[in-house]
Amino acid sequence: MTGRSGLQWLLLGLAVALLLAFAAFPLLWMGLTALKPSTEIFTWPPRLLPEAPTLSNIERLFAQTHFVTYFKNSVIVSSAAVILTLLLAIPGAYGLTRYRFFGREMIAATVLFTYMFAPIMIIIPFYIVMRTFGLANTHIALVLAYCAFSLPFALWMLRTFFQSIPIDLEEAAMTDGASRFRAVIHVVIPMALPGIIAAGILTFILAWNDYIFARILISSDNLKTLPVGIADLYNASVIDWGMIMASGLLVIIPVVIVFSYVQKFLVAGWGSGGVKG
Amino acid sequence: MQTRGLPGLLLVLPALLLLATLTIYPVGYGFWLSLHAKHSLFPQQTFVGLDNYFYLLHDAEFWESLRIGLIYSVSTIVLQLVLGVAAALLLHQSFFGRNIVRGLVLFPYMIPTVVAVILWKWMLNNQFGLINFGLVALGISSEPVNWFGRSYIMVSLILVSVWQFFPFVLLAVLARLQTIPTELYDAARVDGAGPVARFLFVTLPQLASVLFITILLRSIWMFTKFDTVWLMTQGGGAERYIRTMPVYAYMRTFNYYEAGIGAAIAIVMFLMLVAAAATYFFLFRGEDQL
Amino acid sequence: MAEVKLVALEKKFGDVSVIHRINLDIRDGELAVLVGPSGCGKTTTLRMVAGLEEVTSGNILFDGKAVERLEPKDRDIAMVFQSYALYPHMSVRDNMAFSLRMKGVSSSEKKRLVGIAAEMLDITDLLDRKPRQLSGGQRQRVAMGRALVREPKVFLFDEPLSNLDAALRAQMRIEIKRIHQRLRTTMIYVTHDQVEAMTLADKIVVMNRGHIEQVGDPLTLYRRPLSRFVAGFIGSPKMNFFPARLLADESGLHADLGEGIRFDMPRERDAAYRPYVGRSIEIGIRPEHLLDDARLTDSGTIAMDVTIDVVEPLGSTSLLTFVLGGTSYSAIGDVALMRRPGERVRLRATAKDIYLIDPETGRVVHPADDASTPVRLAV
Repeated sequence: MTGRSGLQWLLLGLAVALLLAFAAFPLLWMGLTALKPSTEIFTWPPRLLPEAPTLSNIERLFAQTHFVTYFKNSVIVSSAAVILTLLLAIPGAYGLTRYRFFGREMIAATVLFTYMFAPIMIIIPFYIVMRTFGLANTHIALVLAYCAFSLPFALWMLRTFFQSIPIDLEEAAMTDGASRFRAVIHVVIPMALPGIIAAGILTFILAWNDYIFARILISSDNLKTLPVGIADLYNASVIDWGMIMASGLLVIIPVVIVFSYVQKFLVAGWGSGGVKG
Repeated sequence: MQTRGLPGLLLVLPALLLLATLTIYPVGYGFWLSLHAKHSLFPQQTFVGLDNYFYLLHDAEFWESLRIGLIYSVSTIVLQLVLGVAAALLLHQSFFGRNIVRGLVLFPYMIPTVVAVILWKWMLNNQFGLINFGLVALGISSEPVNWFGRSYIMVSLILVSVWQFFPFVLLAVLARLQTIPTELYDAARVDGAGPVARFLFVTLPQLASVLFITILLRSIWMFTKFDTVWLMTQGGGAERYIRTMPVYAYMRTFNYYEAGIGAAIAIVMFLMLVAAAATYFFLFRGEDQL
Repeated sequence: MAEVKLVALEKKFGDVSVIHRINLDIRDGELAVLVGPSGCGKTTTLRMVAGLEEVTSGNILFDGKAVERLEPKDRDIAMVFQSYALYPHMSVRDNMAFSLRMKGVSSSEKKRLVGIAAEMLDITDLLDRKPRQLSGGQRQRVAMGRALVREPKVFLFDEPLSNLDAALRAQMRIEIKRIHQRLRTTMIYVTHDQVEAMTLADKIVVMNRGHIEQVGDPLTLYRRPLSRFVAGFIGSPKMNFFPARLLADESGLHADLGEGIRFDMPRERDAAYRPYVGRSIEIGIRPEHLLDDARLTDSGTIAMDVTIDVVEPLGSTSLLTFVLGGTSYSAIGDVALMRRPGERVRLRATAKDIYLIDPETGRVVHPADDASTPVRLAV
C-alpha cells in the first residue's frame, strides 16, 4: 500500500539523521568551537556545547588580523565576477540559442571542452598575460579569472534554459509592439530567472571559495581574499584554533544567507535548465 | 525558429573573446611551454622539443603521481556518486522539514575549500579532534589515529573530498528525480515491480542523462583538483606520499623551478582527459539524448 | 474474470473526505464506466481498486475476497494510464513483457504471450521500436497491449483516450469494445466524456463530488435519470432546464414557463406531479426532443413560441439557441428550414419526453416513483 509503516518511518528518519550528521554537523561543530574560550576548546574529551560562550575569538580575529579587509575584498571580487559573468553569459547564451550561425554547435561543444584544462595549467600563462597588461596583483585579474572559469558553465546552463522557453512568447511580445530587445528583457529574462539566479549563485560560490587563483595572482596583503587570508592564518606558527574556526564561521555566513534565500532556484535551475530530459 | 546569424554571433562574441584570451591562449601557451626548458623565475627559455615528455616517461615520481591521482580521482568520484544518488533518493521522499534538510545538506559544497580543510583538520586532530574521540570512546580504536600520517592520509583526503562535493551530485540528481512522471512508478507497481525493480527499471534509466553529465564533470574536476589535495596534505608529514598530478605539476614549477616540465605534466593530464572524455562520449552518447 | 464489489468505500485526505462511503457491484465480465466531472472522485476510486491509493475505510472485493490491503501486483489487475506511462528506454516488446519478467515467466512463454497481445492490437511490427518513435495512437495500443499480456482478472482504464484526437478516439473506442467482447474480462473504465460512457458501457456509474449519483445501463440513464445532475450530464447537447410553476385547474396540470409559454402536463402523470402544484419546479427537455418541426401536431405535443438567437448547422440538423428569461436554451431544427437569428418559431415536444424536476431536492420526478426510494446504488 501507499502508506508508510512505522518501521519505514523509523528507517527514513534514521537515514535522514545520518545524512544530516554527516553533511551539516561539522559546520555546527565549527560554529560551536568558534564560540568557545580556549579552555573549552582544548579539552579531552571534547565538550559539545560551550559552557561559557564567548565572542573573544571573533574579537581577536577582527583586532589582530586583517580579516575584515579580506572579507571586503572577497565581497567585491565575487560580486563583480557574478555581474561580469551574467553580463556576458546572458546575451551569449541567447545568441547561441536563438540564432543560427556558422560554428554554433562547435562553440557550444568547445565551451564544455574548456573545462578539461586543469586550472593548474592555466595559472601560469594566465599570470603572465595579466602581468603583460599590468594587471598582476589586482582585483581585476581575479574577476577576469573567475568570470573565465564560470562562463562555460553559465553559458551552458543558460542555453538549456533559453531553449526551454518557447519562442512563441517573444513573438507574441514582438507582435504586441516590443522590439526584440525589449521582448527579451520583459519576457524571456523573467522566465529564465531561475537559471540566471542559479548561474549567478554558482559563479559567486566559485569566486568566493577560490584559493589557487587568489594565491598566485595576489601578492599584496591588503588585496587578499578570504580563502588565502584564512590559509595564511592557519599557517602562522601557532594555530589559534578558536580564531580560525571563527574565521570559518564568518566566511560561511554570507553564503548561507544568499543560499537559503534562493535555494529553490538552484534546484529549479538544475532541473529544467541544467540537464535535459 | 531561428533567424540568420550575425546578431547572434555578436552576442556571443564578448563571452568568446574573454574565454579565448583567458582560457584558450593560456592553454596554447602551456603547450608551447612544455616544449621548452624554462626556469620559472627567469624569462629565457630553450627549445627542447619533446625532451620534457621523455623525461617524464622515465620519471618514477611522475608515474607515482599518476597512480596516486587515479586512486584519488576514482575513489572520490565513485563515492560522491553513490552518496549523492542515495541522498537524492532519500531527500526525494516527503517528510516534515524536508526543505530545511535539503538546504542544510548542501552546505559542504558552498564553503571555501580552505575552510573545509581546516575544519576537518580540526575534527581529525589527533589531540583534540572529535572524530578520534568518537573512535576511542566507541572502542573502535585503542588510541587516537593520526589521520595525516602516511597510513591514513589518503583516507582523510578522500573523506574530505567526498564530503565537500557530493552535494553537487545530490543537486543534479534530485532535480531530475522531481521531473520523473509518477505514472511510470504507478505502471511499474501494477506490473509487479517491487522497490528495487522500480529503482532499476524506472529511476535509473531516467537518471541516465543526468548521471552522464555529472560523472563527466566530476571526473574532470576531481582529476585536476589542486587545492583540496594541497591544503590537506601540506604540513602533515605525508606530502611526499600524496602527490596527485596537479600537485606534482605545481611542485615542479614552483619548487624545482622547472616550468617546462610542469607544463608538460599539465599537458599530459589534459590529453588523458580528452582521451577519456572521447571514449566516454563514444560509449555513452546515447544516454544524453534520453 | 472477477466480480468486483465496493462496500462502504471511503477515502479521506487528512480530514477531508473525497469519497463518501460508496457501494457498487460490478458483475463478472461487465464493462463498467465511471463517469463524472473533474474532481468527482472517479479516478481516485479507480486508483483505490488498483491499489495505488490507500483505502481509508470500507472494502474492495474481487470474487468475494477482500483486496484493499493488497499491493497492486497481488491483485491480478492491469491498468492503462491516461499518459500511457510506457517505459521510455525499453522497446515495445520489453514494455509489454515487463510484468511477465517481474513474475519470472520463461522467455518462451513471454514471447508467446506478447505475440498474442501484439496480434490482437495489430502492433506486431512495432515490437522493436521505442515509445518515442511511436504516434499517440500507437502508444495507446502498446499501453493496452501491456495490460492485455497479463491476462488479469480486472482491467482498469484511466481516461485512456483523452490525449487522442477525435478521429482516433472514435477508432480506439471500437477497438476497446471489440477486445472486451472477445475477452469478456471485467473492465472498469474512467472517463469524463459521456459519449465514451454511453457507447462503451454495459453499466454506467455517474459520480459527483465523491458520491455515486446513479448506476444503470446507458439507455436507462438516458431515459430515466434520477437526479438533475444525471439528467444534465448524460446526453449531448445538454438537457434544457426551464424554471416554471406548476398550476392546476379543472382541465388538469399545466406548466407555466413565463413569457407566455404554458402547456399541459401529460395526464397519466397527474398523480406523480400533483404534490408539486403551486411550487416552483424545473421542466427538463432534451434539445433533441425540442423540435422545430411543423409536422408534430398530435394531441400529445406541447408547443413553445420562441425567438431564435443563434443558428449552428450540424449537417442535416441545426442547433438552435434561444433565450428565455435571460437564459439560453437549445433545440434541434431541420437545416432545410434555413432559420435565421431573430426569427420567431414554434418549437414542439412530445409530452412524454418532458421531465419534472424538484429544484429543492434535485430529484427528477418519475411516475410510479416512490418518493422515499433513495438513489439506486446497484443494478
